[in-house]
Amino acid sequence: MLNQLDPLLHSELRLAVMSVLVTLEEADFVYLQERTGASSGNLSIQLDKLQNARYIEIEKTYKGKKPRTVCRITQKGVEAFRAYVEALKGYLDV
Amino acid sequence: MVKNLNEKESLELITRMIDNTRKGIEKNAALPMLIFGYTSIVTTLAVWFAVIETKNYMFHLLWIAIPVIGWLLYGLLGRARTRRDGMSQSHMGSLIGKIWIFLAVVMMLCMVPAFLLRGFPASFIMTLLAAIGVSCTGLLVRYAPLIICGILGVLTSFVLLWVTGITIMVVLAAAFAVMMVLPGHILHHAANKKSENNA
Repeated sequence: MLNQLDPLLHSELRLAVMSVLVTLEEADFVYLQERTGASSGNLSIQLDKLQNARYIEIEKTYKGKKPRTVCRITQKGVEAFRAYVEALKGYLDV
Repeated sequence: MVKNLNEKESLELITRMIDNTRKGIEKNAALPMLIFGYTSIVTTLAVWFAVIETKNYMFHLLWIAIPVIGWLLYGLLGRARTRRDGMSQSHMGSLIGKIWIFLAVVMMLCMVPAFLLRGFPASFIMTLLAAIGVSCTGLLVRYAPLIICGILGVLTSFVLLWVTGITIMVVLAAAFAVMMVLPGHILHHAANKKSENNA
């Protein structure tokens, strides 16, 4: 029987963000926006959803006078991502 | 807008994003190699020229320019890049950074006996440490040109034990070119080529 795909990860932008963060220790908002090509508003909303699910943690700091949002994947996020990829492989018979 | 993907598109997206992020990491890795490589060559040749022209060995104090100018340039270029592309830190990049900070501290400590003890093989030790750093970086990122250039640096460092006098500076500059500038350009060129192919 095939595992069900995590609906939170089964969307283009959230999956793109998780794929970037799983490769890195941390990344800021500008970097994620540059990598995903998303608008600020949309990216903000999707990051909040991932944070609410505790897949990522968000730290809001300042660099000089400029605000900076740093995102990191959590252990729960890594496990969810791994399970999602395994489920995908099952669907595609890879 | 939230776009849902089918299974095949999801897997393709994951592969593409991870691949692009890794390419970015590779491109970033070339920058410190080039900055510190060129700074070391210019400083070495400046010390060589100044000592030959003036016979004043106090010009060896110019060595301090390598960490000072290197970190300054790296900070400025890094800040400009962060402003443009945003900031990211990879696990591997963090580990490599810590290795280089450790090696840099040991190199700085080696400068003290180099000024106090006659015959202290500072050039050999500095080159050996830098070459070990390059080889370790290559082994961690699994990049053959870095490993090879690091090994060449190790071999060159031993040559420095037999070279005497001010000629040692020329060998030192050549060692920096081989173990830092050359792999830095290879890495940068390879990352740019991958980005073009991907575009």
